Amino acid sequence: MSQADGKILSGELAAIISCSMLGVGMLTLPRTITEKINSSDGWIVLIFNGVLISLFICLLIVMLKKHQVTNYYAYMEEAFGKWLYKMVGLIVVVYFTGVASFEVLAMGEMVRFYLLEETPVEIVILTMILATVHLLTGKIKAIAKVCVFFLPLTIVIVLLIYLLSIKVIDIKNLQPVLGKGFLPVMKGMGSGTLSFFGIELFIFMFGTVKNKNKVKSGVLIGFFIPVILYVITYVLVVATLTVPEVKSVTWPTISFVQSYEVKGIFIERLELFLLITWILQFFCTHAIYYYFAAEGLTEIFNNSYTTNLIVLVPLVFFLAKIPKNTIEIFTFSDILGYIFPFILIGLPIITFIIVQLKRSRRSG
Amino acid sequence: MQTKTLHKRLDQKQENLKSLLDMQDDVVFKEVFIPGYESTGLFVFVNGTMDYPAFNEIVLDLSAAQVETNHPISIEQLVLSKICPVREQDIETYEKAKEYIFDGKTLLFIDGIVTGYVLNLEKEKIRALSEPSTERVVRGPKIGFIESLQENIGLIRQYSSHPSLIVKQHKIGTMEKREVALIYYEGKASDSLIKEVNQRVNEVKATDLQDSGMLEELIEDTAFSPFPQIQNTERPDKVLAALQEGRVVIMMDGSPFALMAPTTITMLLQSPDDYYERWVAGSFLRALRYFSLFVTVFLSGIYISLVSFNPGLLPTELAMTIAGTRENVPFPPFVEAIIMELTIELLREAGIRLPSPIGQTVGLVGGVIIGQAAVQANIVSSLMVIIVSITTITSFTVPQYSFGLAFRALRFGAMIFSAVLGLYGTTLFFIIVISHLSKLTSFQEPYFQPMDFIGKKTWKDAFFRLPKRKKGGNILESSGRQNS
Repeated sequence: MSQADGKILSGELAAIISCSMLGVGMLTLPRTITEKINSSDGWIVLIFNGVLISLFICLLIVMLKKHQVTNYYAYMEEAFGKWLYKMVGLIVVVYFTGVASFEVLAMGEMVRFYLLEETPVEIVILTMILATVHLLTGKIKAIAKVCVFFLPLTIVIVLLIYLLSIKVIDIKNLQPVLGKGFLPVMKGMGSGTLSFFGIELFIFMFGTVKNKNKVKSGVLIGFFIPVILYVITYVLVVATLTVPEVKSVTWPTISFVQSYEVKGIFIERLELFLLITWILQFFCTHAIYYYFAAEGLTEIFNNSYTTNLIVLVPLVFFLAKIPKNTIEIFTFSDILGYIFPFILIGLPIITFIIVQLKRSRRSG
Repeated sequence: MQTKTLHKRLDQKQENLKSLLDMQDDVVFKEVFIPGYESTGLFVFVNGTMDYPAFNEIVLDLSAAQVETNHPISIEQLVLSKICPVREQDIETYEKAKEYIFDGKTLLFIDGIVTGYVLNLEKEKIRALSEPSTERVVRGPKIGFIESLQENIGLIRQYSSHPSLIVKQHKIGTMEKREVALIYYEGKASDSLIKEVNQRVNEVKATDLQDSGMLEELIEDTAFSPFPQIQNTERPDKVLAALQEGRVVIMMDGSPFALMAPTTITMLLQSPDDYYERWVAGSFLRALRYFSLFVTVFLSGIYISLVSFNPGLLPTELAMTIAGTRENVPFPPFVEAIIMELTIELLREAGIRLPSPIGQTVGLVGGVIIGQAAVQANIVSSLMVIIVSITTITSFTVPQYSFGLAFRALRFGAMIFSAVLGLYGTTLFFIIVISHLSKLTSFQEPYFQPMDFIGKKTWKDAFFRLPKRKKGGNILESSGRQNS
C-alpha cells in the first residue's frame, strides 16, 4: 500500500480516535465531574457515559453502512441540498476550528503554568500551530502514523506513572460508593463531555477506512482505550487528592502526579513525563481537529487543501487569543460542549432520516 | 563527423585510423603476419586495457596457421575460427571503430577484408574481494562487494541460484555511460515498484556518476530531508535478504555499494548479525539501537532545557551536583553544549580524514586532553563532557553510516529548540521530527511505519528480533513490509 492512497487501516483509525479523545479532558476531568456530582462516584458516570456512547456508536455505524457513506460531506449535500449543506458544513468546520484552538490554548496554559513561566504564551501557541501545519501537509496518512506512534508511548508512560503512585492511594476516599444515592450520578451524566470530544470524528473518517468490516472494532477499541484511562485516572486522582481538593485545583491530574515523589530512580518528579506525553497528546488532538477543519473547508469550497491550511493559521491563532482568563477559557469549552452533542448525535440522525426519506421516495 | 566505411586495404585503414586518432598517444597499432596466407593483420587497442596473455595466444595461433591442402579454407574463415572465443561484433565504419577502441576493446583488421572484428580482450582492473570496511559484523559472511559490476552480480548469482532472480542492465549517463543493474525476484517485488525504479533510473540525466551515492540522490523521493531514503550496503548477504523481502537492488559499475529500495527506518536499524546471533542478544542489541538514537538526538537538548529552564524538575541532589559542576562556568548551558558538541564533531571529522594511525591519536588527544583541559579551565562543566561523550558513542551504534549522520545533524536542531523553548521546545522538536518521518516516502512506500511495531505479524521483527522457528521459519517474509 503506498503512502498516497489516503486510506487508513482500522488500527490506525483506533489510534486516531484515541489520540483525538485524549486531550485536555484527561487532565481536567476529575474536577469537572466531581464539581457536578459533588461526590466521589464520578467513575460510575464515566462508565455509564462510555457504555451509552459506545452503543450509540454501533447504531451510527449501522446507519453509515446502510447508506454506504464514503464521503460524509457528499452525504450531507444529498440530505440538505446545496445551500443548507454549506451552512451546516460551515458550522461543523467552525466547531472543529474551535476545538483545535481550544486544545492549543489549553496546552499553552499548561506549558505556561508548569514549564515556561516567562515565555509569552503566544509563541507556544504559534509554534504548535506551525508544527501542525507541517504535519498536515501529509494529510490523514501522516496523522495516522503520528497517532499510532504516540498512543502506545502515552499509554505506557501514563500507566507507569500511575503504577508508581500506588503508595499514596487511599481507597477510603472513594467510599462510600453511591453514598448519596443514584440521583447525583444521574444528574452528572451530561458532565465531562469535554473528555469525549473526538469520538464524533469517526463519522468523517468512515469513508477513508480500508476495510469497512473492521470499522466497528476500530472505533470501539479507539473509544475504550481513553475511557479506561479516564476511569483509572479518576479513581486514582480522587482517591489520592480527596473530593474537596480535586474541586479546587485547575489541573487535578497533574496535581495528583505532583503529590508524590519516587525515590531511587534518576528522576523523582514524574510530572515531567506526564507533561511531555501530554504535549504530544495535545498536539495530536489539535492536529486532528485542524485537519478536519481544513478538509471540511476543502469539501465545501472546492479549493486547495494547502490554501485552507494556511488560511486556518491566523483563524486558529486569534480564536485562541479571545479568552482572556481561565474563566473565559472554560466558557469557551462550555460553548463547544453544546455543539458536541449536535455533531455526534443530532447531525447524523437528521442526515440519516432525510437521506432515507429521499432515497425511498426516489426508489418508490 | 560523417560516417566513413572502412577501406579494403590494410595500409589505407591504418592511415585513416591514425588520422582519426591523431592525438591519442596510448593507442597501439600492432601488425601480425599470417604466413600461411601471405597476409597481414592489424590489431588496434588502447594500451593498458589489454589482457596480454590472451592476446599472445591469438597472435601465436594466427602466425602458426598453415593452409590445409585437403580442405582449403579462406583466410576469413581461418581468422574467424581463431578469434571465435573473444569475438564480440563486426564493424563497418571508422566511427564505430573509434568508439570500440575507447570502450577498451581490441580491433582486428585483415588485409583484403573490409569488415573489422571487435575482440573482447579487456582485462578489468579490480581489487580482490575483501571484508566490507563500513559494515563489520562479529559473526556472519565476511565478503564484500568490489567496484566491478559483473563480479558483484556474479557474487549474488553464486548465492542465489533461483531462476526468478532477474538482473536487468541499463547504461545511464549522458557523457560517460555507466552500467547500472536492477536486481529483483520476479513475483516478490511488486510490479509498481519495479516500474517506478525503472522509470527513475531511466530518467537520470548526469554527465557522469562516480558512485552509487550520486545515483541515490538523483532517484530518491525528496532531497529535502536529512534522512537517507535508500539503504546502501557493501554486503552480499544484506542484498540477498533485501531481495527476499521483495525489494529492488540497484548496483552500479564502479561502486561497491548496492542501493536497496524501498527503505524503512526499521530496516536501517537492523544489522545482519541480529539474525546470525541468538535472538535474545539480537533483540537486546536492536532495542539498544533505538534507545541510542533517541539519546543521540535528545540528551543534550534535555540537559540544556532542564538546567536552564526547569532545574526544579530534577531531583534535589542531582540539581545540586549539576549546580556544583557549573559553578565557575561562565557560559549558559547552550553555549557550553555547542562548544563541546562542535569540538567533538571536528575531532571526528579530522579523525576520518587522517591516515588511520594518526587519526586514532587525534581522537585520543582531542577527546581526553581537550575534555580534561576544558573542564579544568572552567570553560565547560564536567557533566557536559560526559553528556557529549555519551551522545557521541550512541551515534556510532547506527548500522547505516548515512543514517547516523542524519541524527548527528538533528542533534543541533534539538539543542537550539531546547535553548529557546525549554522542555516544550525539546518536545516540539520531537514532534517535528516524527511528523517529518511520517510524511517521508521511499519509492512511494511509507518510510516510517509505526504500525510495524504493534502490527500482529510485524512487531516481532521491528523493535525486537524474536525467534523465527516456525513453519519453515521464513522470517524475511514477515519482516517490515507486511503493513506497508
